[in-house]
Amino acid sequence: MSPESTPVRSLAAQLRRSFDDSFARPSLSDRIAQEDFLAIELGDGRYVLRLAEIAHVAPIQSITRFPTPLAQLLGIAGVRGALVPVYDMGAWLGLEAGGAPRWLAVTGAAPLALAFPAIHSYVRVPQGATARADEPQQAASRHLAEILHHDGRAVPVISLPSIVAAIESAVQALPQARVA
Amino acid sequence: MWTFGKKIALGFAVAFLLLLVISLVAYRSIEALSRTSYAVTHTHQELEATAQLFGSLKDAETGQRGYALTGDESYLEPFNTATAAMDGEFKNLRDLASDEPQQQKRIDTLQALATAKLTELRKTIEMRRKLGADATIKYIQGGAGKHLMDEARQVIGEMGQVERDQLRKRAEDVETASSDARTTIIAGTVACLVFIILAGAVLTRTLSSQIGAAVRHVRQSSTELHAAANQQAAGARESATSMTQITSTINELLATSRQIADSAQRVATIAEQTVSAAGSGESIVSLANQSISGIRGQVDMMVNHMLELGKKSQQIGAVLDIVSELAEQTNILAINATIEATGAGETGKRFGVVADEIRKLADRVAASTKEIRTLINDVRSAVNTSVMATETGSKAVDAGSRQFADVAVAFKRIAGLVNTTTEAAREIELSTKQQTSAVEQVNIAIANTAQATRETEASSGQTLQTASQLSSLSQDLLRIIQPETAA
Repeated sequence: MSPESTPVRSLAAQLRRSFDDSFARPSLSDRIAQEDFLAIELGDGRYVLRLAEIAHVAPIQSITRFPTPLAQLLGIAGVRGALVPVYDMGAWLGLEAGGAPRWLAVTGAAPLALAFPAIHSYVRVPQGATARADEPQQAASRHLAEILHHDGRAVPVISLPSIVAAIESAVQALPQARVA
Repeated sequence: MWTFGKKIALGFAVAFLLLLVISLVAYRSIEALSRTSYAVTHTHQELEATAQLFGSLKDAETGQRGYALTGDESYLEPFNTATAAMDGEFKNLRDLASDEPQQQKRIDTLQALATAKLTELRKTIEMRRKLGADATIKYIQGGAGKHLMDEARQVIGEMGQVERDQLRKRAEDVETASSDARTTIIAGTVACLVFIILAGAVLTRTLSSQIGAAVRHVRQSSTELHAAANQQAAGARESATSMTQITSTINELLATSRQIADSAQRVATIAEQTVSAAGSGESIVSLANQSISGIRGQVDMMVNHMLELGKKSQQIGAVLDIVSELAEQTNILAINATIEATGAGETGKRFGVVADEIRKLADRVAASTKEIRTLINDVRSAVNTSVMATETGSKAVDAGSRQFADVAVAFKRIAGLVNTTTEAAREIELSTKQQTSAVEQVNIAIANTAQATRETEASSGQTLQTASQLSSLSQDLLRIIQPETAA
């Protein structure tokens, strides 16, 4: 047994003790109102998604492409036994692709998914930790109307309902014959 | 080219010739005067002898007259004395006038007259004795005796006149010779004086000019000599300094040569030790070669173990990939569970807590997986580095093994070369000792040269002083002969 195994064992014991203690302590959410976010890597920056706006997160198995006038539409994918259209999240925000999309965020408001490259972390903050952004009138920034202050930095909050509304507007603007 | 000696000799020769001419003229004049003086004396002797002869004749007549008057025999003494001396006096007169034929004739006439007179006187004396005084006086009064005396007086007068004429002529000769001698001496003296003055002026001018030029040349030469002596002194001082430096350098060279000799001796000793060390080194190299073969086997085994360790690390990495994937999927499951629990409302809250803890656990597992991956990567990198280093070491061992063989050969060569080095070191030692001896001789020679240089410096100082004295002397000389240029 190498000497390095002792810290690993203590780490494992610490993990086990922390896991067990969490069930012994009263839940923090019972006492303080909290809000959950999912931090993602998009383009060259970091953004957060409000967890309440997401139905679920799934890894991309495969995306089936088809001809479409919408450049942001990547194709369709199967998620939990249902087919959903997959849109490029960065394209709606006007960002350069930061890599191949690996994850899908399925929205709860409409049956569609937005693809992004990487999950950074899970963020839980007290309620009201977000603030309004300074310039919401720009086209790309209207989906980034809020800022979350976390760990000493300001992270833009992506508004999935805003993107969904934009997608619906774009779809409705398409010619009906071609949609049919 | 007329030298000073020739010019001065010529001047003295001309002056001497003039003096010689004057002296010859004076000598001839003195000779003439002397001869004239002797002739005058001779003439006076002749006159005196004539007067003495005539006096004897008159004494004889005086004695005859006194006897004739008195008959006293004592009065005949002058007659007898004069008669006895007369022959000698005639002989003396003839001798004095031997170079005068006219005077000889007159002497003959005078002697005949004197003989006739003496005969007449003897006759009267005999007459006095025999016939008495009267007959004798009567006979004398007849005048025969007087006639003879007058003739004799006339002849003696002619002889005296001839001698007086000669005296007058010789007085004129003396005056002429004296006048010539005075004229010659005065003229010659004046000419000699003029010549000496001219010659002196010419010689003075010439000598002043030539000696002045020579003195100026001497002065210039003394100045050049002064400068040359200064340069020589400076050169001698520089040479002395250089000699001192050379001596120091030679001494250092000497010390270095001795050190080289000692070092060569030590090198020879060390080379001998190196030969034996090379021999033992060869055997040590053989043993080391065997050891290297063993190390080679160990290194190969180590390389295999390292490669095996690398493979195991890759397998651990694959397992970690699985664990990481599981942690990520667990995290997503926990997130989705949280979303579902939130959607379930109050009933899902407890499930949400569980899902949250699972998510945290998955996060920690993911973080630990990252750390382990980092560690595994470090291990793999270390293994790769070790494998590469070991392979490099293996190659180095191979190369070392080959090089050990080369080293063994090199040791043999070293032994041979060290032998050569030993001989060379001994030759160097011998040569260095010879060089040391030569350097010592050079040092002695340089010391002698330095001494000669110092003497040269002293001599230069003496030359300098002499040049200064020569310059001062030439200045003084120039001041003496040409005051206007010297000033």
